Amino acid sequence: MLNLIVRRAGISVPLLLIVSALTFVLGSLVPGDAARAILGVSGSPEQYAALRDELHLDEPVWDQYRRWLTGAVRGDLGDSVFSGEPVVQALNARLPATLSLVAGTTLVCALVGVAFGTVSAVRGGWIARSLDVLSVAGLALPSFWLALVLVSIFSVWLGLLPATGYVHAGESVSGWLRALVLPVVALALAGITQVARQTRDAMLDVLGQDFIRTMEANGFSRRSIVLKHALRNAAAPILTVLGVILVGALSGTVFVENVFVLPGLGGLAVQATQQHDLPVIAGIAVYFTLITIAVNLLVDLAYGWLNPKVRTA
Amino acid sequence: MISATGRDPVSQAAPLLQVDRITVEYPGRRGSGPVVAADAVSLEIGRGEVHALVGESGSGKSTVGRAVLGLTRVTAGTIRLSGIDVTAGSRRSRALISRTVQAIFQDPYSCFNPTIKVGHSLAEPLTRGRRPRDPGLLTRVRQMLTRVGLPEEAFDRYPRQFSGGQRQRLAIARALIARPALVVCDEPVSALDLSVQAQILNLLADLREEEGLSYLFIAHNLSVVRHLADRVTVMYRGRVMESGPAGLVCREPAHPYTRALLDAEPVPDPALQRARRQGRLKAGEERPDTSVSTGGCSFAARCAYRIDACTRERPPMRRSHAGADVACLRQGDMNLAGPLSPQQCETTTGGSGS
Amino acid sequence: MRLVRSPSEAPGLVARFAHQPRAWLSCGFLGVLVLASILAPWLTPYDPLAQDLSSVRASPGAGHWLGTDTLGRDVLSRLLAGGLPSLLGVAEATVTAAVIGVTAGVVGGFLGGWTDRAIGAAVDLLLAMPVVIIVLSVLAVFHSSMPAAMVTFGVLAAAGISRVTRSATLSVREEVYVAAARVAGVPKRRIILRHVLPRVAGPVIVQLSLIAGGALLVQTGLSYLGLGAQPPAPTWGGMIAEAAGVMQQSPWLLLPSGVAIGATILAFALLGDAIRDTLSDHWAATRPGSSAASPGGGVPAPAAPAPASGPTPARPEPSRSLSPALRIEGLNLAAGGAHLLRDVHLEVLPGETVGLVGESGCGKTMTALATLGVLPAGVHLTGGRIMMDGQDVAGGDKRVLGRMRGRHMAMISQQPMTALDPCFRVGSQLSEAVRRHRGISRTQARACVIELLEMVRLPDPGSVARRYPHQLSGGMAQRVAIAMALAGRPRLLIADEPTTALDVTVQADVLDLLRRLQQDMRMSILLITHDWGVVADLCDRAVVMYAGEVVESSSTEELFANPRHPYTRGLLAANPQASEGRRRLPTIPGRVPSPDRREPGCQFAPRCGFADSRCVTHAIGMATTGPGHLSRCVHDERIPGPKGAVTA
Repeated sequence: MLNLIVRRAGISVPLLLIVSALTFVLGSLVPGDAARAILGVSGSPEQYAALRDELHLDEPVWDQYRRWLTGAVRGDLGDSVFSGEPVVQALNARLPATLSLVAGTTLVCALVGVAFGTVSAVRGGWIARSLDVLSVAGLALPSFWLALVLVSIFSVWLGLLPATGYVHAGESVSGWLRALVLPVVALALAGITQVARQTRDAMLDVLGQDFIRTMEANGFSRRSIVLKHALRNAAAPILTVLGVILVGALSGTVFVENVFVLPGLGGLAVQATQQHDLPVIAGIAVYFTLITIAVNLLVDLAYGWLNPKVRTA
Repeated sequence: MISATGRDPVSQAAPLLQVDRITVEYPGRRGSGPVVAADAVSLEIGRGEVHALVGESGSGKSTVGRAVLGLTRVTAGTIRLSGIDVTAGSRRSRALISRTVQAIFQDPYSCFNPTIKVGHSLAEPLTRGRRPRDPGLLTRVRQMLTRVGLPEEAFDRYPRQFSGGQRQRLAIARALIARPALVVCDEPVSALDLSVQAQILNLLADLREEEGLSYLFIAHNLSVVRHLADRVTVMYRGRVMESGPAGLVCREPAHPYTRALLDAEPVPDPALQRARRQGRLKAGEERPDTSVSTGGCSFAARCAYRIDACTRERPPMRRSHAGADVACLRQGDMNLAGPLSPQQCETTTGGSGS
Repeated sequence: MRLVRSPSEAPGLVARFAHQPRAWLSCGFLGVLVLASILAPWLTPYDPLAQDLSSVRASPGAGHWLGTDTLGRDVLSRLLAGGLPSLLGVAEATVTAAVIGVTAGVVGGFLGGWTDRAIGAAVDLLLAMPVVIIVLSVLAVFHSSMPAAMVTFGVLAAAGISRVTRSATLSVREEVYVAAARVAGVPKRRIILRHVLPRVAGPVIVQLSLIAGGALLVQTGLSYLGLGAQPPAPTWGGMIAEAAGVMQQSPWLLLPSGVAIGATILAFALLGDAIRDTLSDHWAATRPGSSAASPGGGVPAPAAPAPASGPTPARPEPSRSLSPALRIEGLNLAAGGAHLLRDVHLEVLPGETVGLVGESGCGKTMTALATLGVLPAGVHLTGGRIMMDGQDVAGGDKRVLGRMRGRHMAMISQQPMTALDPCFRVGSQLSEAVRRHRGISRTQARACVIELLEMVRLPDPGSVARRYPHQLSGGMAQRVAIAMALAGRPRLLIADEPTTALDVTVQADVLDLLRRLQQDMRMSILLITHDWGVVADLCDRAVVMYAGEVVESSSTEELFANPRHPYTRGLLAANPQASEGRRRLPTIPGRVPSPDRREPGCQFAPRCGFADSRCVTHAIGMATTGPGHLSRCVHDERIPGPKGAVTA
């Protein structure tokens, strides 16, 4: 178990290095630079040269990266070349919205997906068939498109929920929840169907196993067999899917935050790409990678907790 | 037309297979040492001889078989085919092994690639995996099919169209197509039903006689090999316990483990089985004593004849006066005359259902 | 020798593929889409860039089939023109992922060692990378070049493909036929091409179809954000962005591009599934046991069993005073058109051990499962009664049966290692059983668990209770399984091949244990086995089954000394143990017929040396051949007695 944690931690260091270096190197190849972006076409050559110097844009990429890395180790990811705001500060301000969105999506996927999948496995019939149809539909619809459709139905037409904007949970919990409903639904639909399908397949597999038949034959209650024994045994693949969904939702925020104008990391990433704001892109890459590593670690820990073979090894 | 004469005339003098004190280790779990699957195992098979390798699960019998086939790397010891060392696993020895040795495996359901017509699978030892085109070769495959009791049309079928017994016939056909001198049979009938089991055993016996084949016959109990084998080697936890002529080992086992193995097999005769059972229970229930260290004899923990020395000294292999090689410190000073053996079954009741 | 009949003899791979509606649906859709996209310049009714400010946001109609957008451009034309770049992007991503992923996966999985570890590390790295952020950076660098973005996406997605390929390769590598190919001297490269690649194709294709869909999603998402091809060039994502701007006025505009994206992704997914199913159907190996439950398909159902007729029609006489622990009367089971069991009679008296003997496919296990009421899906009861405690548990209330399970009867199965829930400690599972059957508290149950484990003679029950199933040996696991079956103090224990998976010395211990428990608890045992030695060791009476019918039943001593049915005789003789010192074993020619090929008369007639015309015309009934001895054979007078036995 400890082994696993050490391995995950060990891989995270080179991973962060590679990801940040990659964004840096790629970013430095960008035609047109931040100085040009800030000044626009109107800036004089002198202003341009001065700004380049100030931003260290004349140094080789390697030196720029080393400078950035030395800061990063101390928790300083540099300043946004566009707004001058420290990157860490800018990202932290936008973290709550993204985390709320991603956590909400995962939670909804887990609860609805597992419930749907379990019922479908045990009952079969029309529930199973409708799950088949829904799961392909969930897979096929782009989340940003779905978000737009939801907005046009629930905000524009029915006027039930806000179309855009974000309320911090500290200000108003109900406002926060209302702001999250549509983005979470838009992001979660694909995940729900994936979880439900995985749950059903895993449950059907477990329910066909020898020990379930032995328990049935020896008079265990159906309820305990399904909800305690089968679900516990089916948990590992479901968990894997949930981890994948969480990481996928992180990518989805790039599109969905744009639709709902949420002040999150995804929206910032798009903005920074358009502005060639290198430190911000690198910072977001680091944040996303860290979240991914944390999720994978949690999934691994949960495996160990679920599977005695791993735990006792 | 398929005969023993076409074979390599290289050094007819040396025994066909010599396994000399081979040890096979697998990397164990982190923190613990390597798992010793086979520990200084030796055996020898002459031309036309059937040698049975018997043991329970975890005895290392299949590991020895895989080592002979070159599928498992050997940690120590040598394997010789007709006197030529093939232990190293080089390309040349690989080629020699696959010319001389073929195999029949236990599971008839996964021993053929389900995506390939059986005719092409059968030709694999001849074509080295290429598509067979040569008409002479195709004829040979068809003749081989007939030989193992299958119709020639089987050539163009897929494995799933065959029953377990038929697949085992196919496996035999594949093993024999390249005219090997030795066939490693790894529990070839364990997965089969009783009536089919008898058919396959008979086929193996017939082919052996007609082709002058040698078998290394791996089995988990003595009853299957008793009437097929010339010699028997009994293994327990990676080590050889006893080795000798089949009749002798089954009639007068000289090692307590062989005795236990024989006694534990229920015989198909209620009265005799009752007598055997009572004898076994009277001899005392063997409760594995886990406190016994494994420094000495690997069977010591379960042995009813254990003395203190057994837990410290590893017993050397010694020839008994009857002619079996036995790894037991107390060889000769125990009375291993246990309950009635199945052989006495014939004499006491005149057999059953036969 | 007859080959197994199988549906594969008819259609080949292509035919089987085309047989699935979703296959030709998805192929048809994608085909039309590709053609239309390629031919778009000639097909589009309007120039996709031509603005017509006189008719902006027109509804769909005769002039503009899908209406016009906010600049009056024809939506259909823009949709078609946007198709080709989308499809090219998908192709770039998918091909990249396939080439890199499959190569890495197969090589790593097959070679193992450090190659595998290096590839694994790279895959771990790729999987933890923020895909969209990387793609965004690439877009920024390469002048919003979508091909560059899609190839990057493909590289990142290759990690997933590599994982799937590797695990499929690992499982194929363990297949016996790969070992056989190595023994045959086939070189590694050719083993990979011939034996490994075709088998991993199924899961890889499914994964690739998902990646194709994912690539389209990412691509349209990026165009939606205004990255990639710049307006006014038509892209599907860009069209959604344009529609979003006028969502309040004409929500309709969201639909065409959204549906196009959805339908394309759907088609990818369905195509992937269809290919996978075609391949796995084609290659599935039928193992024994799996065929028993599957319906016979297309075979006319055999006529209902004719009334029994024979020399002396008889039923087992319930002459014994005690009420039986189990009494099965005329049990019939069917699956589809196949008769799995026909007219099975069976009785187990209190304290008696009855052996149910026969080869696989003869209906032993089905009889047990029917008794327990846990038949597999698709198998149903078509007649007969299963009497227990004076109640019919077969036809009646499911709740009656539910109350019986565990308390009146219990079961132990063939595979001890898979008979326990791997996720819970032994003690927890036993405690659940005890509490359910005895209605006692958790603390009281703990003492009962220890008592049960002592009863099955496990040393140090306390420590065993704290273990997980994987920490037990096979013999210990079987003892725990027996303890679980005993939790409700059942009158009848159904043991399905309880020692088949165990080593012979462990088997002897478990048989001893069962015998002792039975004596101590006055329990009845129905023992299913194919091992004559086990029957001789443990059973009072034996019932022999063949092809879904009981063919002989008598006391064990009598059965071994004087078997009356030719099948019993053949099976006894085929036992290698019984035929000491003979080079050739007596055999029964042929094999057990499959359930959908049952004969009208004696099932064994085609394999029987005694068979004549009397055997094949009508159903044969059980006939008494001696005290308590019944046999389903019309040739009793021709079959020799105990002395001078002859093989059938």
